[in-house]
Amino acid sequence: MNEPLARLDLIQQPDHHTIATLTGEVDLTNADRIQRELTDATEHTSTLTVDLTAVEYLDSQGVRILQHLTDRHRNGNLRLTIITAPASIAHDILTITHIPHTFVADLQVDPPSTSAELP
Amino acid sequence: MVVGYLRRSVPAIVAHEQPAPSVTPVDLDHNGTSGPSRFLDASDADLQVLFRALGDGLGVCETIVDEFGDVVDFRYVWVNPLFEAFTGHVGAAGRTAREFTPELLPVWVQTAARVGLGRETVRFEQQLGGDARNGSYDVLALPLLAPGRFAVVLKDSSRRVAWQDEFDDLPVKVWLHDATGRQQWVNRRFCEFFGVTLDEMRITDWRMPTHPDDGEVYARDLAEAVSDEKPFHGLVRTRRADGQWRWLESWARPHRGAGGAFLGHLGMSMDVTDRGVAEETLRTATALDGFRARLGDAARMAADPVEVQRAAALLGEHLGASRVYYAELDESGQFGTVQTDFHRGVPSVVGRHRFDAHGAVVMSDLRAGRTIVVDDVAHDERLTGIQRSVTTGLDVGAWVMEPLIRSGRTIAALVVHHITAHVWTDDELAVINETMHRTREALAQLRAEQSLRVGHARAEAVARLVVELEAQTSADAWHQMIVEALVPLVADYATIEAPDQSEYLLAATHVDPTQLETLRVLRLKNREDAERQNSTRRVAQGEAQLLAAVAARPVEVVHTNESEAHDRVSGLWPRSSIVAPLDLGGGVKGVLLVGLVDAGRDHFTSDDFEFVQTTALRVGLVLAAARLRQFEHGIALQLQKALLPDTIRWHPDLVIEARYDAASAMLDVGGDWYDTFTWPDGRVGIMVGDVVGHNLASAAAMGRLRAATAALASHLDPDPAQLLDAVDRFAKGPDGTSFATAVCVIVEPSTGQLTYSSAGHPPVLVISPHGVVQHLDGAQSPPLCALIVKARPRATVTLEPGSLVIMYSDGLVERRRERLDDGIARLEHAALGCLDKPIAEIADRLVSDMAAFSPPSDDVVIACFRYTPATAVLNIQFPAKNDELAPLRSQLRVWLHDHGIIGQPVNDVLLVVGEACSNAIEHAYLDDTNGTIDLELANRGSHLVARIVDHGTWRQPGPHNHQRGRGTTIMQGISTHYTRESNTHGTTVTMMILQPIRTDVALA
Repeated sequence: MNEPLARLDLIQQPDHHTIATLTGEVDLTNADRIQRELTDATEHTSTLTVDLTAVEYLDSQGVRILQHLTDRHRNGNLRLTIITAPASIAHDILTITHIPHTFVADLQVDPPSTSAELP
Repeated sequence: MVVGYLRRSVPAIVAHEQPAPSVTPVDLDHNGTSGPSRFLDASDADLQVLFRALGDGLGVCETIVDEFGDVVDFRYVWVNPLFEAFTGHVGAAGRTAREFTPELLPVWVQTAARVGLGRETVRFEQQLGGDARNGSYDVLALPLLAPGRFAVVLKDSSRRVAWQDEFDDLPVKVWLHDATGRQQWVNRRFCEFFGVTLDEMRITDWRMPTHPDDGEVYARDLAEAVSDEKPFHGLVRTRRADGQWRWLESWARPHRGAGGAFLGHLGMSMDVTDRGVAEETLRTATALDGFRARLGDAARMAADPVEVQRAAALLGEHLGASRVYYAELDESGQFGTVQTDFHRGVPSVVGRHRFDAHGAVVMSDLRAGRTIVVDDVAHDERLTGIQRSVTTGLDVGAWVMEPLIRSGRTIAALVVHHITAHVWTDDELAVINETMHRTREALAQLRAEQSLRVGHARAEAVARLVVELEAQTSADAWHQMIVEALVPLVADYATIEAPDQSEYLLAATHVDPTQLETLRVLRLKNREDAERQNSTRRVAQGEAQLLAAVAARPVEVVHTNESEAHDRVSGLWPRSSIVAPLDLGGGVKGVLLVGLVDAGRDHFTSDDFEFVQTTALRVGLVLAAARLRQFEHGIALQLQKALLPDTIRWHPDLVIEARYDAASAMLDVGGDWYDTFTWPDGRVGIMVGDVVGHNLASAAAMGRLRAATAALASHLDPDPAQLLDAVDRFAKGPDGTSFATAVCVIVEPSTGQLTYSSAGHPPVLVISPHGVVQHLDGAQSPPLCALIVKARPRATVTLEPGSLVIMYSDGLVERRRERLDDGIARLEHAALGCLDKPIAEIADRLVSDMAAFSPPSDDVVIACFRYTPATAVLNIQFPAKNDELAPLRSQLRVWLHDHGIIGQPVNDVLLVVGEACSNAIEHAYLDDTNGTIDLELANRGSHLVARIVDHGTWRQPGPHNHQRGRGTTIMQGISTHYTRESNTHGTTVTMMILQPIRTDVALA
């Protein structure tokens, strides 16, 4: 398995805004690593956008990562926006696990504008 | 100067003159340059002698026109001595007429214009003052060749003066027209009649004022008589000096002068108006006998409205009336209801009328039992201006109302209308009175029969209502049924209100659906008014109210500014209403309100009042009983549900869904059951049954029966007939039940073989994926407990993959007044409409569709399943390692794609399989690195079944337990069916994922 299953791209924006784009598949094999990377990179971030629209697979292991972020959000330390593609596995699983404030962007339109930022 | 006459000088006729070789227009001015010499000079001396000797006066004249071309005078060019004598204008030649008579009569000026310029020949008769005898003359004026010039011949007609004087004294109107039809002379009677003098008549060119309706014909006939010089006869209405229209009948003969010349008509006219009335009376009298005979016939048969109407029509035709009808007065005597009317040339007035609107004073006479006669609505002093205009607005010019008195009270009236003013004669009034009395008995009979019919209809409606109420379980449904039973039979609208409840308006209905919302708003607004609310509350406490006539102020009462609402409200405002107490049960006191708005209906009577109160009382009792039953029903339903199996067997090849429903039907809980069984060889059994009886006892009996069957089943062969026999034996035992029907099917999943046996139960339906329906109506045997049955039959069919099997109790398909086959056909139709749906949805839809057609009266059980053998199976065994997950997903994607599975099911399968495998890797083989996982994925058409088997030992809950819990949540949330079985050999997780049924597999 030379090719990593998933890739995390982080873009630092002004004002402590980070855009995290996850690509590929998240499962038991890589969930811990991704969670570590993401936590480290966003430790000082006040605004985080997680783009899951390019994720091909994400199960309860991935949900754990996002759950961690929403906990931070609930504690008031993070402004969080999660974007998923409609009819995707990521969208299904976030819906079924009631991950709060998950916003689904219709990619046919304009992703950032149709996603709503958490207050 | 000359222009004036040239413009007009287009001689159409040059009367009787010899054509002249040449005509030289004559210069003509005020001074008259053309002298007499030009007409008769010396060489014409012979003619002059001749004319002088003539017994008639002869003058040659020429017109004098002003600068506008209008004739103002004429000049005598030449006259003979007799002319001078007759006119008194001695030495007239060369002088103008005005020089002799400054106030020249218009008749002369006109004659000069007509003859001199218009080239007409004119004859008339004229009194002339020149002659000592002041005689009367025939005048002939004819145009001469030279334009503007004319001759006048005067013939002494003094001999006729005598009879003209006599005409003056005749009691008829005598008149004389000239040859053009103009009024020339009339006698004194004529002048008096029209209120004009003879001179005024001549000066103003007077014409007789005739009625527009017949004046035209009269004038045309007269003109024809003039042009043809024929006798004349005509009839015309003329306006007398006092303004009254009078009929004049005229006769005239041509009046001829010397030589037979037509001078005009001499005519005579008579006022025949009175004679017309006299003749009419005579005609009436003759017609009366015939009328009476026909009326007698009609009245004898007058047992229904058509015949009473016929009597009205007869009377109408007889009198030449515009309308005839019977109006029944309500108790107040204020309103009259017209059921049907005779009307000719005017609109019908069927409906309800406030009589006082047509004359409050006279109506009080009617109520006192007196006949009302109005000859002329427009001028009757007893009517106010508004009453007049209201009445004339109905095209009534005159009317008569004949009261029908019963017990000293006017209860009805016979009404006769005339479109115009009409002086009712005694004869006519007598006929009206007679008609009223002849039809009175018939009317009374009619009223009695109608009231009987209404009574019957109402009694039936209440009986029906009570039965229907008992079939309903919801209070809302009860209330709505009550109001709907009363509208429109009794009232135009009805409501049920609970004055002390927060939900105030419980039900409302209106005969006009568009008014329903307004009615609601009005009734709710009523509540804001404390006084009105108190009034309603008093009724609820038992004090019923009858408001027989509340018509007066429509808008005032409604506190709203919306003009639209005003409009609607004014149409809604009750004219009459009844509010009766209605016990709503459970200590809630309510009211039943009914009201009338339709102008075509009678006000509520005391009979109606009693009826509504009685109905409210009866319905209240039914409601109380129904509430009690509803309470029992709730308990029975709970028991029933408790006695039915919590879960039904799940089998991947037979996805079974069952429903029990008794919510929509009042009561009848208790008898139905279903159950499923499995045998070690893989066979699956399904039984549906129905214990007769609907109460707690039958529910309990069903519970025992079901429990016994479940216990017996595992000890018996998988044979439906044996199973039914066992149930039968139990049912006949000491704990048994009286009577039950049941059907049992047993399916061999590997082959699709279905064996069934039915004990008096409706047929099981099998529907192939192509929509072919089969009734399993073989293997019938008597119901359980009915007879001693030695061996029940069984029958077998083979299910096609994808087939739908529907088992049900008769409550699903049985409806009152309908054959069972019709219900079964409807069930087939409903099933065919949802073949492509998941089985759970099919079960729900069959129950709701069948109830939507008509609510079931019995409880309902349905058990259905689809035979879904696997069409493709994927088996993989792989090491229980993290790294295996991604390749596994790749393999699954390929397999799913190869089997045409796309979209949501792909996501679902990847997720549930991923979660199950992650769980196994994490928890089953914690200490064993050589463990394996077996995955079986089967495509079964309507769904996919994934089975994940590990062979490890699951550890006890530890720090990661929470995580495992989340994985299970996801699997349960996504799959339609989820089971997890663990034993010492490992754990098996089975999950079902629905997929859309492809149309080529589903209904063709």
